[in-house]
Amino acid sequence: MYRLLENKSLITLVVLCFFLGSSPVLAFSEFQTYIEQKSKKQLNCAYCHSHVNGPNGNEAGQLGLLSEEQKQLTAYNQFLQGNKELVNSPILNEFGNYLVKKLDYDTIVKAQDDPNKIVEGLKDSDLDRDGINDSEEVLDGTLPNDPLDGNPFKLLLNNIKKNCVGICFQAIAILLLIISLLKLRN
Amino acid sequence: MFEKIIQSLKDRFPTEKINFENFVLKKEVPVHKLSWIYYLGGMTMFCFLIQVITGLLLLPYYQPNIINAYQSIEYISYFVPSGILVRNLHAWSSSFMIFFAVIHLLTVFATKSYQKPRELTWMTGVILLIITLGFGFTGYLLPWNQLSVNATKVGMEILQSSTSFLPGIFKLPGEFFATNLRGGASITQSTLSRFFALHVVILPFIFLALIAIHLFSVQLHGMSKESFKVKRYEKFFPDFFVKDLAVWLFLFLVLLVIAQTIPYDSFLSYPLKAQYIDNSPTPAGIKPEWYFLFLYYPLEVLPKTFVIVSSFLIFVLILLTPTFFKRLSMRSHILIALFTFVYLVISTVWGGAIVQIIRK
Repeated sequence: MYRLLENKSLITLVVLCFFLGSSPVLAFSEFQTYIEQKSKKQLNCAYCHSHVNGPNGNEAGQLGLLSEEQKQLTAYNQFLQGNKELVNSPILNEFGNYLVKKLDYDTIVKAQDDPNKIVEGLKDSDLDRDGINDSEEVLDGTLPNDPLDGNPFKLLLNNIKKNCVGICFQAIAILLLIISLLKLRN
Repeated sequence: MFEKIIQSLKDRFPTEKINFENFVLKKEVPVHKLSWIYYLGGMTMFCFLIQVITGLLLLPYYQPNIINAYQSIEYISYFVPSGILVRNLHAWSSSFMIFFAVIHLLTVFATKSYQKPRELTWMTGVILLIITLGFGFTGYLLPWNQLSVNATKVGMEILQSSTSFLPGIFKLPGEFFATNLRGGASITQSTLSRFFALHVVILPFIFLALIAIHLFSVQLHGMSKESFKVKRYEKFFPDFFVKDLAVWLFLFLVLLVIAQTIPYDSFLSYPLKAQYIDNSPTPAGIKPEWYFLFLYYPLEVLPKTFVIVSSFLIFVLILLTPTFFKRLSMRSHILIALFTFVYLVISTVWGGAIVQIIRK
């Protein structure tokens, strides 16, 4: 037993399996609970996973239906082989896969005790390029991989900034049209 | 008796006034402190026009079947050039349309503009508002997401139980309408097909027929001026017409900016926007669109029968306003309209919080 514990790679494997592999806590419920507390919104596993009920099961996007080839792409296997850039897990959605690639192993492991680590690790990224950084989206309980999902007020400000020139031209064109129409009256 | 009916019809449809001179050249609009209320009907109609145009643009891409409906909406939103803009314009203008229609109704009521000979204008207006809400209800199901399907289930259950407290055969209509709207006992492909048909063909036809009568009668009797201190008159064409167009253009600018900057769906949390899958867990927060909340929250806390009966009575009262309220003073009219407006705002904005407090 003592020898087994000394074997670092085995421990790594067990820990990774616990968080990312085929253990019952695959859906990383601590992270979900953390976001729900912060955003006061009720979420489900589809925040990071392909399937709404998480990875355990035999439906599309769940472990039971994965081929051997697909299993090789999971975070667990790619981490083991030291290729985290190649992670393209069919059980994770775009954000889930991004999260695994973006954060290092330690952060993901520590995040079970302190989910805030994940949020901190996402401060400089904006996966969907909607102008709201991913850590804010996580705290708001909005999808970081959907440019149409976000806090409406933040989206308004960011989209005004992004489309400022276009909106100004539209406003000028319509106001000129209104002025010319009113001049027609005289 | 017949003479009375004919005379009453003659008063409402003075055929001698139907000519180009009266409709365009001679027509005048009174100018007074509250002239802005004359633009509300036009703004409602403009929103309807946007609905028609954007709806026609969405039509080639939307697939009304439960397997592809959600994906087709995603395709419109993420892949069709300007698809999201058109979809947002459609959604935002529907909300604007209902908002302006309600304000239009309240101002017409407050200023007693429904009085003889404008009773028919009022009644067609009320039915048009109900149809507009029908557009909202049927359109809500079309994206086939968690919120739309589950909210429609709730709506159908309310409709089904709406007459269940009545004795004998009188309890049947609710179930009859609910079953026929659903096309069965639950929300399925039949429901989606029926709602789609209602949303894009049946309701628009009824709406167009009624709006033709509504506009024709507005044009025939002119703007109501009895309740105002008229300062002067301006020509309908071109003065009022051009100002009306300018208001429409400004409204279009506001809608365009909102549609470009705030995705309509961003007010929903993501589990509600996910594709509806049979037997999947129902996410929390299922509720109807904001314009049904004034009815939804009372249903949550008060006895259903009471809410349904009083809603029906209020609808009849509103429809027959020219008969029931004509003797009431202008002051009472303004107070009723104000009270209604305050109720609508409070129930829509703070209804959820109030329900939570009551439940505690």
